[in-house]
Amino acid sequence: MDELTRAVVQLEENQVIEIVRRELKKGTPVEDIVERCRQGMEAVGEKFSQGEYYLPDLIMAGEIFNSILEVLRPIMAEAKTRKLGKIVLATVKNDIHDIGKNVFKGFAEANGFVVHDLGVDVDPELIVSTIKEEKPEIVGLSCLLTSAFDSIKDTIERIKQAGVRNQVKIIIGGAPVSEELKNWSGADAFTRSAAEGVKICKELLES
Amino acid sequence: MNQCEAAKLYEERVNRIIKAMQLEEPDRVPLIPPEEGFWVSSYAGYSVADVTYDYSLMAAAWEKAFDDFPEWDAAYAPFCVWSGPMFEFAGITQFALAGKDGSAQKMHQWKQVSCMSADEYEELISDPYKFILEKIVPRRCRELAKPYPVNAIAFSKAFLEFLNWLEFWGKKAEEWKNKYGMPVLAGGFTEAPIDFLMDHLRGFKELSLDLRQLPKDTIIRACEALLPYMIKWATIGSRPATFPPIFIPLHFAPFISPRDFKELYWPTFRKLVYSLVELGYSVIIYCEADWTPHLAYLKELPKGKVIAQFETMDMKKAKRLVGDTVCLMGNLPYDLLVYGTKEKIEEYTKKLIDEAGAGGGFIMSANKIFGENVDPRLMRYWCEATVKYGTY
Ligand code: B12
Repeated sequence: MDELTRAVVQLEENQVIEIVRRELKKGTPVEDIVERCRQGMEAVGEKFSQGEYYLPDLIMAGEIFNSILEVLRPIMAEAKTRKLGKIVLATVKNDIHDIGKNVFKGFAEANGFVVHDLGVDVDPELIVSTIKEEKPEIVGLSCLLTSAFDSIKDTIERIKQAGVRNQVKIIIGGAPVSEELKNWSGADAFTRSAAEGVKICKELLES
Repeated sequence: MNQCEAAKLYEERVNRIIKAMQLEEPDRVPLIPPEEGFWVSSYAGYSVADVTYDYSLMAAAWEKAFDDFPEWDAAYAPFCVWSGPMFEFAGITQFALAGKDGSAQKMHQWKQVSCMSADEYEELISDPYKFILEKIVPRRCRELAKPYPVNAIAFSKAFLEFLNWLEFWGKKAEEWKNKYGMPVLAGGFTEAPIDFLMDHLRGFKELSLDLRQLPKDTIIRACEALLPYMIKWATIGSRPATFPPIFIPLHFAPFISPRDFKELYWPTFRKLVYSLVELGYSVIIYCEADWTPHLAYLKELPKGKVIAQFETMDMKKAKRLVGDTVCLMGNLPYDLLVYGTKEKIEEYTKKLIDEAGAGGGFIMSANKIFGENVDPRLMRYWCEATVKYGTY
């Protein structure tokens, strides 16, 4: 395995940053560096799914990705890194929880998605108008409380009414979501894990 | 119901619960829905905002539920909607109160912000009481952070309201005993030391990073320093007794590795339970989220003194692994009580009793604290199914 990829998988933050700096100095193209990190992130997700890594490790991976971005940002602008797709992400109306949403966001970005984060307690109208402007492939809705089930359904109803439902795939995430909730609310997919969520999003892009 | 009937009913219910806790077979499986006040208030037609500010409305909502669902064997935690006035006097910034804070209409919500930094561990460890009082409280309570005497006045107001609130619920418990024969399950409240550190000091993301970035020893010492205060928290205002038990919701465990659990979570939590039991208390622990990876540890807890409530758990497995040590409680899926049917509820209730009820040591409950959308008709079916299949 590539040295950088391995450092990412092992969540060695300092080592990762050191290698990224060194590669930059050597003139390695940014897209190359990002791709090697992305492969590492994918392996982290794999380890999480297999029960070898735990949530603190995923959170750490998200942090490392942010540090990498900080180093790369100055040169990022002109580089054309491969992007998998765009996700509009929000915690639904009447729910202000964002730990889970943010873990998913960090991990989705680390895996090559562009995430447009609308924050918490988000009005369905804002989600609809953002879909129209940003044209994402995927909409991710997060909720932690069962009290927000109605908000999920309302949001999806509004997306339908606005006539953009068939332009996006909708995934719902958070501890209380289930197959039943997915069917009842009219979403396309559900997950209770950020790593699985990223995997599902990749599949949704292809379907 | 006259007082004599109520007394008899009270005794019947308490005995049912105690027998189950002591791993014996009661007359039937006790039924205790995990209700903290959010659902009963919507059932009685009040908003959460109403009952947060008017305790007597909160109590009235519970009483309506007692009338309509006499199969309940206890009110789980009737005071967990908390006190709006007390929070306002103190100027609590971390809790979004339902109806007051625009973003939290239906249930109170916690704003996930960290109020202790990673370099403050040593200060916490050297004197937790001083650190929490002088550093954390002002960071979390707007009014208490203001200069003297505004802070002192705010403190007195909040404290008086706290006493009011305590007295109100103390009296209610007595009244419910005499009028409805209805016991209150939670006799006191505390947390595992590392959960306190996560919930109230560092925050979820920050403590997760600490696990990877700080020496383990720092976190262990912090938990040890907090332990005496966690014991004190439980014993303040509650008398040692087999019933009611001390309520301990558990938060961080399901999200961490077995190794972190073993080294950082379990030792001080185990000590907490043993200390309380040695003082004459019993406990109900709520293993929130998925405890499957750590299930076997529960076998180390004192036999017959602990009710273990589960959110996500294969109850058959729990019965086999730890059913001879702790009383199992749980875990009808919340979804069923919102979208289910009579048949599905009956089927699941029967399944739970078959899997976990044999020989006693089981309390029927649901997996999540109720929000406002539980369907009263489905609640009725659940009560009937528990009596039908749960009678020994
Ligand atoms: C920790 C916790 C607390 C702590 C929070 C501490 C802190 N510093 O943040 C404290 C003690 C403050 C607390 C308070 C309360 N809590 Co609480 N709490 C929890 C607990 C145990 C864990 C929540 C958590 O932080 N999870 C960690 C995150 C990372 O997980 P997650 O959100 O599920 O996200 C993951 C996935 O779902 C996914 N994901 C999330 N969003 C998305 C989005 C997309 C698009 C994708 C793809 C994936 C994805 O990725 C994440 C990583 O894998 C849950 C139990 C549970 N099962 O979740 C109860 C729980 C949420 N709490 C509950 C309750 C009732 C309360 C209180 C009302 C209690 C009270 N009476 O005061 C209060 C206030 C409500 C609140 N939480 O705001 C109930 C809610 C019940 C319901 N009907 O909805 C729960 C479910 C407990 C239970 N079993 O009943 N709580």
